[in-house]
Amino acid sequence: MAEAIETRSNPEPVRITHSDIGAKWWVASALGWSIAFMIFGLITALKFRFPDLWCSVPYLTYGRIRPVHAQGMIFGWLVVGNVAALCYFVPRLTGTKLFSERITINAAMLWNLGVFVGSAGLLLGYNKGKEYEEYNGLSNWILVIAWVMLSYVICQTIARRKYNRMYVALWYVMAFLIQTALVYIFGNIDGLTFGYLHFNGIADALANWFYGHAVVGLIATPGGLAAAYYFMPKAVDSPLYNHKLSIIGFWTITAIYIWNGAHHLIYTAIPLYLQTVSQVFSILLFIPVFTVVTNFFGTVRGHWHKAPDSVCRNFLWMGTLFYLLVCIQGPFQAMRPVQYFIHYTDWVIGHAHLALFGTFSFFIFGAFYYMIPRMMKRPLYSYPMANAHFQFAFWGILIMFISLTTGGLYQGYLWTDPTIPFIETVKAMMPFWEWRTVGGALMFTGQVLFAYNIYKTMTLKYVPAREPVAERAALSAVSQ
Amino acid sequence: MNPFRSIWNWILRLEYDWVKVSAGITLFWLIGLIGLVLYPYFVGGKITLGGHKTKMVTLLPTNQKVPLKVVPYDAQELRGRQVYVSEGCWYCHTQTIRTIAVEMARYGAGGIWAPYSRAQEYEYDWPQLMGEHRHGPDLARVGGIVVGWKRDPRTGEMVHIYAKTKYSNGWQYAHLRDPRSLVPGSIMPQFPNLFDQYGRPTQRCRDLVAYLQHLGSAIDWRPQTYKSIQPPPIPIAPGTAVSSSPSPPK
Repeated sequence: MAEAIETRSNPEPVRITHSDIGAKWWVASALGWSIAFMIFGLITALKFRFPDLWCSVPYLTYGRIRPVHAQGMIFGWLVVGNVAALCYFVPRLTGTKLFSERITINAAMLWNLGVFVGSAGLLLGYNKGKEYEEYNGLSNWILVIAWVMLSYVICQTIARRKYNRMYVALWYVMAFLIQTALVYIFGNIDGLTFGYLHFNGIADALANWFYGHAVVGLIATPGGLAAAYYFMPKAVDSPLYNHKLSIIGFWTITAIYIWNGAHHLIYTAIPLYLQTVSQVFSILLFIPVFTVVTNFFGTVRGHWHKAPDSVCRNFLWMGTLFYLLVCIQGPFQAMRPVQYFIHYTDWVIGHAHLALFGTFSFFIFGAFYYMIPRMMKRPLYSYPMANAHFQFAFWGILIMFISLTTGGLYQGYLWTDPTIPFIETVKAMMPFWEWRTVGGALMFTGQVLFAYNIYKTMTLKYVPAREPVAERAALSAVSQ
Repeated sequence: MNPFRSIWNWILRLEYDWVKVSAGITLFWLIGLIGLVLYPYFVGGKITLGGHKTKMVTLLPTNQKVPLKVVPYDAQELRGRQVYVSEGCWYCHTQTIRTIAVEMARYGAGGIWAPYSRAQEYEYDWPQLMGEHRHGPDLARVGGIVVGWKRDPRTGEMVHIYAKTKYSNGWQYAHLRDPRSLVPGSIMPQFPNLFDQYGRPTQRCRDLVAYLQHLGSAIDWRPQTYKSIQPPPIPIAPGTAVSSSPSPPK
């Protein structure tokens, strides 16, 4: 049987020139939105220390800019960055040109319009009132149409592939496209029907967290892992450690992740069996996580120093370590005795930032540092700047994660004594929130360096005169 | 042939067929949707979501049995709910008292524990505002019980009358206007836009406070003698404050 599989695959490489103009549009969108929405995040963090900051401007109150940050970083930066990466690697993995660059560009424009309409609506007070699905109905429609256009292009590209056998990154791309569509349409059904179809009460909470956890598990995870599965072997210039392991990881992630939503509602009024089911499936997540991490570790093992592109390797490697950390923390904190302490505290916010920034944004950083020079056929504008970005991003997320996690644990501990007034537990959190702001400022600084670096790489008309030896190797890798 | 071997080979061969992979992804998602949302809503709903048979985690020393009387929102409270949603109050305030003893004790009053949140209490909620973060205290029991109706002279519509609310309306207005004057160290922002130039609450503010007073109205649990917390009297320096501030028109 194995021989039959081998003979059906087509190992001969196809030489074609990719224009990548669609990917460039998504790259530019991701850079712009990430800077814009991180500024909102910084203001949000500052408002913990200075609660009355700009309170007389109704559009800049805490309750309005917080969702702009959270929604924007997911749908303006993470999803867009992942799409940029897949617009780059899907044509290369399928050995064919992207089906239509024009539709891809139009999808990017439409997607940006949707993110803008949603964010502007939030600032004006049009909030749907459920976490991670705050964008208004008009924005939902625009985003869905843009997504269908993009999915059409990518599916047509995959259907026209020259290589019969599909690499696992392509599977994750399909999971990314399909699950995002399903999850987004179902989760925003009240916005898409302008309130005609909706749940209420506890069922609404179940649907909300079914969606809310899927945003991380079924949108950010397949998108980020697709990029990591393509760029990790590329970054260290070695084949994937084990292909069958990646298949196990893929199907278990697809089957298990969707069942975790109810662990956001432990100890609340939802049925008891749903709480237990979600906890069991949270533990089961160890299967896909360890297969993925084993695969990446095995891929890098023995090839660390051979990496032609150290920045890309560092980001992907650190993202994998954070992925391991966050996916051990996740099932741990879904357990009832842990939920008892940490639910509703800042621990959860630290966890969310570690997953979405520490892991999936790091994957996108690594992907961009790999693909932008190859797309533009010139070396990166500044490698020291890229290394500085790594340091800023790493220490920033580490400070933020540690301060929020310890602070959340401390606050949850204080809450277990009902004689302590609530306001005292808030005051006790202030130093942790200040450190969180420091971490956020570092992350933002790194992001500015990243955006500037990529921007200069994409727009510079000449090749820098001096480049160090390691970068010359990277330049020689820019052969195709 | 080994059946596990043939199943595994079938799975391996999927990597040649993108349509089957897509179908598998969709199928797993649908199973999750049915198990996690649709089954509890349509099939298990009568047993687990409505009615009084919700099984709870019993970390409690006693199994509280309380009579439930879920009151629908009136028009003013529905508008106030919209203010609560669009101003993002729900990012910092949850509306769930978990089935945890210390939590019920914390939000209790006069030595009586606050009852944990029941599923039926959320019956009229769309969107649900159970919340996920507590930068501020829980609001599930911040309101009182409905004792009657009256006509609001400003809008001319019928609104609920409340008794045994945790805070009086005046306290809520003062707190929205300047939280730190009542709770030193609070990180809640001021909401000057909910007040007019004379410091009187606008209609949006009154709607919001009416909604807050409705929260937890399904259960009458505070002691009969409970008095709502009032704002402290405003200290007026002799001869200065009254004359210097503009007097509001009638």
